[in-house]
Amino acid sequence: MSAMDTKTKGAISLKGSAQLVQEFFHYGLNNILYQRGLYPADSFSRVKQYGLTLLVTNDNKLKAFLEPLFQQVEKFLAAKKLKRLVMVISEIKTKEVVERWQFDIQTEDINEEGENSTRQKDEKKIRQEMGDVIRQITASVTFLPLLEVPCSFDVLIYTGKDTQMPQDWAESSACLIENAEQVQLRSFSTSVHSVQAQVQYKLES
Amino acid sequence: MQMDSSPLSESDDSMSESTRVFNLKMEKEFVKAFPLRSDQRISMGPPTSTLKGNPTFGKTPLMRGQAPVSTPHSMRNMKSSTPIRFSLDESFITGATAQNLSSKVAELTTELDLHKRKLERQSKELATTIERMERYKIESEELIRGNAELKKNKQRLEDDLRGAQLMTNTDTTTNSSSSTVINKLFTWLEWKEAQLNTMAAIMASAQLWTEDNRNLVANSYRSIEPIMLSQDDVAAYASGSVQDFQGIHESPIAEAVEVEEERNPNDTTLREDNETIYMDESSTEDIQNNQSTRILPFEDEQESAKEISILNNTMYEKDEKIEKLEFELNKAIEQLELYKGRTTKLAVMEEENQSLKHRLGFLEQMHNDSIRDLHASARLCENQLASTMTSPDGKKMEREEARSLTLTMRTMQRQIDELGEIGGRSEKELQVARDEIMKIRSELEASNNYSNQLSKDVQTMSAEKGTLMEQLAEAKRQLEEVNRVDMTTLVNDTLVPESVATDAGDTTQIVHFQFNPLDQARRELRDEERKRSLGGCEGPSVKRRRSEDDAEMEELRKKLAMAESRCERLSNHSIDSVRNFRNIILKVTGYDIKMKQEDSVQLTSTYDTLNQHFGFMVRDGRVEMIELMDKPFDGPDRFQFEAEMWMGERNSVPGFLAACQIKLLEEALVQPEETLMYGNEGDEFDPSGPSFSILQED
Repeated sequence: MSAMDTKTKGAISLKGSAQLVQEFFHYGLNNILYQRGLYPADSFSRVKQYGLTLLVTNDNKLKAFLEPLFQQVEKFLAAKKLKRLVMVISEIKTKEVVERWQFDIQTEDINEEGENSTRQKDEKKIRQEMGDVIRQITASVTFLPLLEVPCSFDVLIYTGKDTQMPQDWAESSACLIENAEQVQLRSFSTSVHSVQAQVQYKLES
Repeated sequence: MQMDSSPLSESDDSMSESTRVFNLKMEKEFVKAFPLRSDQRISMGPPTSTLKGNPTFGKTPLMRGQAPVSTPHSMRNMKSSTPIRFSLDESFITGATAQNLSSKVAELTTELDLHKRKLERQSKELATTIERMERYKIESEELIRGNAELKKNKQRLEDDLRGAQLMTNTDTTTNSSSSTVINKLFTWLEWKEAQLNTMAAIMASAQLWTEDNRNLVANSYRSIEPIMLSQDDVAAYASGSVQDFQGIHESPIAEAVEVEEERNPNDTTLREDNETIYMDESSTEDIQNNQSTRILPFEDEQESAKEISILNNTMYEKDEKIEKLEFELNKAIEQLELYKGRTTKLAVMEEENQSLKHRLGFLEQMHNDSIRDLHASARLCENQLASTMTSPDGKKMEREEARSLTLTMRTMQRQIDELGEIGGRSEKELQVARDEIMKIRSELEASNNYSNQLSKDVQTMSAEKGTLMEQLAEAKRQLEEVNRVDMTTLVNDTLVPESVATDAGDTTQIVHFQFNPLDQARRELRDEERKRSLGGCEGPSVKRRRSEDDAEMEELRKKLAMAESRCERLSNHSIDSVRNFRNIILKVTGYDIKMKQEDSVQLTSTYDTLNQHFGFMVRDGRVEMIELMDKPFDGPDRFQFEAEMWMGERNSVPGFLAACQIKLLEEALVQPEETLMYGNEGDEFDPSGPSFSILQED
C-alpha cells in the first residue's frame, strides 16, 4: 500500500505520512551511508527519487538491518511514538562518535481514523521538501571531516518511556559528541509529521 | 757314596722338579725293562763299552744278588724335596705296608686339599658376610638418622598442631564465654525487670511513683560511662551462677537503708520500699551498663571493622597454619613411604641373612666333621705307622719314611690347627655379625613401631585438619555474610548513580537494535585481532573476500574460455559462410566481388581474360563507378559504350554489369583456344554459367 492510497486529493493521513517519512529515512540514511563512504560505492545502486538520482544499498547484511528498522520506524511514526531518529557514525575500534545525524520529529495532534484524521498538503510539495533535505545532506559532505579510520553506524530511536519495545531492541546511550560542531539542515513537513534535520560532527583535532 | 757323585745326584739341586721326576721315571722304566742285566753283568764280567755309556749302570757299584733299591741317602734327598717323589719310587718298595702308607698319605693329602679349599670358600663367604654386615651397619645408621629426622618432624608437627588447637580452643572458649555471659545477662535482666515491675507497683501503691520519681529513675543512668569488658572480665562473668552476677551492689542499698532508718527508724515499710527503690535504680544502672556493654561494640563501626579485621587476620593465620600442616603432613607421608620401602628392603636383607646363617651353620658342621675325620685319619695313620715301625719286618728305610710321614702329619696337624684357629676367629666374627643383625632387627622393629605410630599420628592429624577446615569454612562463611551485609549497606548508603549524558528528557527513552552494524563491526574486528594474535595473518573477512574473489575469477575464466571458443566457432562459421557465399555469387553472377573498404567494392569478371576489374562506391545510397578496368571511370575504355548506355542513360549498374559480362563472354567465345579464367585457376569454362543479380541498389 503506497502513501497515495491513504490520501485523496492532497489529503494526507497519519499512516500515509508515516509511510512518506519512513521512505525519506530510507533514502536519506542510504544517501548518508553512500556519501560518507561507510560501505563500498559498488554496493549501491542508483534509483530515481524526489527528482534526484539517489543510491540505495545492495548489501544484504545492511538491508537485513535496515528493513526491520524502517518497519519499526513506520510503526512508531504511525503510533505517534517516534520523537527523534539519530544516525550515529562511530569509529569501530574506539567506538568514539564522530558524526551524529539527528532528525527531530514532531507529530501533529491527529487521529488515526474518523474526524481529524487527515491534513491537507500536496504530495509533490512534500517530496520536493524531502528532496531538498536530501540534497542538503549530499552537500554536507563538502564541509564534514573526512572519515580516515574505519567507521560504522548505529541508529537510535527516541520514543516515549511507556513504549513497548520489541525483542532485539535495547536501551542505549545518547551517543553525544562532546564539543561538537552542529549544522542545522533544512526541514520538511507532511503536515502530520515535521522533520527537522541537523548534523553534529567532531571537530578535527 | 758313589751315588752322590752320579750325574743324577749332582744335578739334583739344579734340576727342575719335572726333570727330576722324568729322570726317576725313566730310570724306573729302565730297571723294569732290564731286570736281569745287572745280574748278568755281575756274573759275566765287567760291562761292555755300550753299558759304560749308561750313567746309572756305568758308575753305580751294584752288589751282586741285590735288588736295585735306592739307598737311604738318596731317600733322604728325595724326602727332603717332596713327598711326591717318594711316592714315585714305589717300584723300589716291594713291601705291601709301604704301599698302603703311601696311598693313605695320598688320600690324606687329597682330603687336606679338599679341606683347604673348603676353608678358603668358608673364608670367602665369611668375608662376604662381613661385607654385608658392614652394609647393614651403614643402612641401619641411615635408618637411625631418618628416624631422628622423623622424630623431629613429628615433634614440629605436634607443636604446630598444639598451636592450632590452642588457637581454636581460645576462639571457642572466647565464643562460649561470651555466649554464657550474654545468656546470664539476659536472664539477669529478666529477673531485674520482674523486680523493677514489683518495685514500681510498690511505689505506686505508696504513692511515690510520681512524675519526678519517674524522671529520676529514667535519667539515673545518664552520668554513668559505658563499660567495656575485657576478655578476662568476660571469662570472670562466664564463671559461676547468674545469681552471682554483681548487677546490683548490696552496699549502696544497705547505705540507703541505713540513711532511711536513721531518718525514719520505725518505718519498716519505707525501708523495704527504699530497698526496692535502690534496688530498682541500681538495677536500671546495671541494665543500662550491661546494655551499653552489649550494644556499644556494635554501635561503633570502627570497633566492628577492627573485629572483622582481627577475625580476618585470625582466618588468614589459620589458613597459613593449615597450609603449613598440610605441607608437613605431605612431607611426613613421603618420609613414611621412604621408610616403608627401607623396611621392606631390610626384611629382604634379613631373609638373606637368615639363609646365609643357615648355610654358615651347615658349613661349620661340615668343617667340624672334616676336622674330626682328619683327626681320625691322622690317628689311624699314626697307629699304622707305629705298627709298621714296630713290625719285625720293618727296615731302616721304612722307619725313616714313617718318620718323615709323621713329620708331614705334624705339619698337617699344625695347618689344621691354624685352620681351626681361623675357623674360631670366623666363628667369633660370625657371632659379632649375628649380634649386629639382632641389633639391626631390634632397630628395625623399633622403626616399624615408630612408623606405625607416625601413621596413626598422621591419621589423627588428618582428622583434625578436616575438623579445622570445617571450622575455617564456617568462619569464612560467617565472615562473608558480615562482609556482604556491610557491602550492601555501603552500596546502599554511598553509591550514587552515575549520571550519563543524554539529550532525552525524563519521558523519553533511547533504544537501538542490539545487533547493529557498529557492534557487529566491532565483533568482527575483535575476532580478526584475536585470530591475528593467535597467528593467523588474515582475518575471516579477508579470507572470505579472497575466496569469493577466487571463485569469481574462476567463474570469469570459465566464461571467457567459453566465449572465446564460441567466438572462434562463430568466426570459423562466418568465414565458411562468406566463402560459400562468394562462391555462389561467383557462380551465379560470374563476378568475383571483393569488399575493399566499407563503402567500396571491386568486381572481377570470370570471362575477362585480362583479369581487369570494376570498382564501385556507395555514396548516400547511390552506386557510383569509380574504376573501369583499372582506369578511372571517366577515361576511355572498352566498356565505354555499355557504361554510357546502361549507367548513363538507364542508370542501371546491374544492366551495365550484365552487358559487360555478355561482351566478355562473346570475346571469350571468339577466342576459344585461349584459356579462360573461371574463378580460380584450373577451373573449367562454363558457358552456361552465371546469371545476373544486383549487388547493391539504391
